[in-house]
Amino acid sequence: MIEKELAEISEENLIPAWGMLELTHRCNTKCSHCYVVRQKKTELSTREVKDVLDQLAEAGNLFLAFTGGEPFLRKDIYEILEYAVKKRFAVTVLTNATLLDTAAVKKLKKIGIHELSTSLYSLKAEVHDGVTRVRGSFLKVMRALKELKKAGISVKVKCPLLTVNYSEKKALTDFAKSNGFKILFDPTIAPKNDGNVENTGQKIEGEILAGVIKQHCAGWQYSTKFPERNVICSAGKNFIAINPYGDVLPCLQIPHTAGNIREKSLKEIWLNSPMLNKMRGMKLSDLKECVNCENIRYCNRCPGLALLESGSLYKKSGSACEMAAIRSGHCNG
Amino acid sequence: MGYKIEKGAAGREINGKYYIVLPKEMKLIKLNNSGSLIFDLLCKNTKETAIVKALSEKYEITAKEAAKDLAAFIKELKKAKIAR
Repeated sequence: MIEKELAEISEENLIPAWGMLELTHRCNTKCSHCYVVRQKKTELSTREVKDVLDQLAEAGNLFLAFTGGEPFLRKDIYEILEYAVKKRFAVTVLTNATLLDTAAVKKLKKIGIHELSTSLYSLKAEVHDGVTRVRGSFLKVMRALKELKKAGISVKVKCPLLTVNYSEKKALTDFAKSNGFKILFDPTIAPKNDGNVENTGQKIEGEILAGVIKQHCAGWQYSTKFPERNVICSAGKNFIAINPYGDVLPCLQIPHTAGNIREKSLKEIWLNSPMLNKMRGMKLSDLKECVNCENIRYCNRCPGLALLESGSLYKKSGSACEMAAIRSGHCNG
Repeated sequence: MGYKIEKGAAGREINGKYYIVLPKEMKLIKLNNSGSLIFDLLCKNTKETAIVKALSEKYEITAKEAAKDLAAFIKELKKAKIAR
């Protein structure tokens, strides 16, 4: 209820209450479905990251997720997290957890992050390591989860559903529940940020996807009050993203830079960027391929995914169309 | 006696109201006007006497009433592990 109110107030007033900050594109795993395209640019320094945090706090950002790449590859990660907690952000860290040993978890506990989110692809070492393409990564994640539980740090397990792990959904749910972790499954695999689809080979489709979506019909909600909210998200309205090189983006899945914080202030970029203003002006009627679609009330189209799949923020997203068609057939009772 | 906001309590003033995220979890709460004023002052390490004075002036109440309101609010913050 309060989240909804904050979402509406921040959207109306263009306050980036939610945000993601990519600290690095470097990673020590090679996950088969990863969307990140590493660029040959210089990462923000510690001082620059702290300056970004100051500006984000000033802009009204409250929920901030640090992600990567693998954020724990940065030597200054604890200094950055400590600074963010001091600045009163609700801090989440998205990590593959392979670098979190007892000492690292102790530091996180002391800093007081709000949540740690980690990927776990399977309860079978060979499947998890097959996705990360790093032998031994499963054992390291399990070690980290044990330490995090012991430390009482709130954990969210994130699991993209792939052809190699969809059958483990129940087992993973039970594992999370029994350890007091939250768990989030997602069958959507976004192409790489340059539109390359080589990472989508393990995406579930057809009957398998239908089986997964059918299980979630009860949670499906369609806003009749704001129908555009179902197919046009809050990116650039109350959500901001910043990549490791200082580019301000409406979302990590929309690799169109609104400006760079090394050149302009965050406030100036956020309020005056023509690209962000274009995003903010997007209306349902602009989506010519979607506006009259019979499945629109079952659709949760993501503009970023549409961009990566079709090359345009305004065109249809094949993935969203497939899911909407399944919901229409199975979730309409 | 001084009160302090817990290190892990996240909060931001958005559109004139303070939204707080409880320490170590992702639960969001919203403070009312006087709560927002107190939270803001506590974040700035303001002394109890100065907070009472600020409340008294802003809401045109006696210092005794302001102190009572502050104590009640602090009790709630402590219960939610936001203040100590």
